[in-house]
Amino acid sequence: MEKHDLNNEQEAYLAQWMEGALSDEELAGYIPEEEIAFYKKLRLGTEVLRSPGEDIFLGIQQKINNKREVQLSRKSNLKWAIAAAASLVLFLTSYFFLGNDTIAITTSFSEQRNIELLDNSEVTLNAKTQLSYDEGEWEHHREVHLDGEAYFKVEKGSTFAVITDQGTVEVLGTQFNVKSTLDFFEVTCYEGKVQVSKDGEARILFPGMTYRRINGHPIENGRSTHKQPSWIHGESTFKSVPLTYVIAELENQYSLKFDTKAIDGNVNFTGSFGHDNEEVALSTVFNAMRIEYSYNDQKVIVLRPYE
Amino acid sequence: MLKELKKICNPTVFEDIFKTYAGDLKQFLFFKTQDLDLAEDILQETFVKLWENCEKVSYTKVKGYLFTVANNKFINWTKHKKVVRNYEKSAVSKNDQESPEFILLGKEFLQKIEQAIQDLPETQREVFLLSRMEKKKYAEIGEQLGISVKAVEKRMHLALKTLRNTIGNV
Repeated sequence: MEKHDLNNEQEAYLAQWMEGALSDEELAGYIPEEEIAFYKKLRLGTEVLRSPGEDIFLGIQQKINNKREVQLSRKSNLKWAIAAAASLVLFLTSYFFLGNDTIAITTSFSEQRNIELLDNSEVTLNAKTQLSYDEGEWEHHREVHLDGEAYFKVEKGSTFAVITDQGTVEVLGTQFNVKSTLDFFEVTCYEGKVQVSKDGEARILFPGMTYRRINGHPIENGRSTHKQPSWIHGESTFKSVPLTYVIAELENQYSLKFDTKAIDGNVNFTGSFGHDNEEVALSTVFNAMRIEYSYNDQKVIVLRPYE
Repeated sequence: MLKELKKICNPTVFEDIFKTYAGDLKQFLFFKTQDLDLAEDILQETFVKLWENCEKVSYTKVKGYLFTVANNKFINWTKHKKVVRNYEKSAVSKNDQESPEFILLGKEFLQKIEQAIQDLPETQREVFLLSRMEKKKYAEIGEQLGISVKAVEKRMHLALKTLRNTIGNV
């Protein structure tokens, strides 16, 4: 190495070339061709040595997402028809204005509602759900409070948080479903990456992952190959969910009241019911569980195990 | 508490597996393909496959699984390339390498680079690693180290010259 290199302010051409500030041709003004060949080889070598980072990992997530979308688009178009029908059931919604800028949106029995938030993020509320947020604070905190069940399509940007009594769900541009009722908490990630946290403990969900907690007990991840929650398409789907919660969902979707004293609500139910035919929905759930149902005079449905 | 049993389907475990093996897999694939983009592509496909089979693959065998899948994907790619090349031959004769600047890189050269980086004087190594391994801009490095951009460039320039001298002709 020549001494004057160290003292000359201008001697940084290799560094400038490495960062792309100098072209190959410009570099050729300083050093001969075979030297350039060496540095190119060195540049490639360090690229190979570099550990794959976040960008590569995000690419993997993207590929996982794309594959699932392809699989889903092969399935019938029927779902779209049902989705269009479901989106018509959007009436009785009421807006409540609480305090200064707090906006609360509530859905009633058998009602779903699409709303657009201030940043164009979309939320679909399932029946018997309340979502509230502070319009004034929105620019600083994208934060919503949820009681019930909702499906979120979040615009990219700063952190977006869904706060429930049972934990906080945080995301950066993604699609996910949160269901939080008194003692049932379930989050499913459909796209991107979601973090679920409660009392300082956090876990990350990838597309297709479900995190569920019933009565405070976390349950290992389930997996889903669906692109959206089934209720968006007018169907409630359950995978090993205690019957109590299935019955609660029937109440929400059909505005019913059940008498469950005679049955065991802890038995798990796997299956689904549609939102368009009460009789079919009742027989689907209760025949499978070997439970009889009959209306009493107060319009309450009494449940009894088969004789 | 949540991961008493290491399950690959657990996203945190999956990400840890990526962090542990992606570097070695990338090099393994690069030496087979001599094409960095292709190597990274196959690398991603390999992890997609692991995710799809995360319930079937046991955590203790994940390394072998990854390398086997990567190798199979590479073999499939060469088969595919052969077909494409035969087709191209029948149409127009084309160069063997489509990339205008093909650089052949061997394992020995890579080992030499690794060693030479280790042997760099501390100030040069620091700048070199931040720039080349963490992909930081000189301005960011300057900020991080509390020195001027000019000083960063100078250290980088020296680092490159030092590497040239230690590695020698290859």
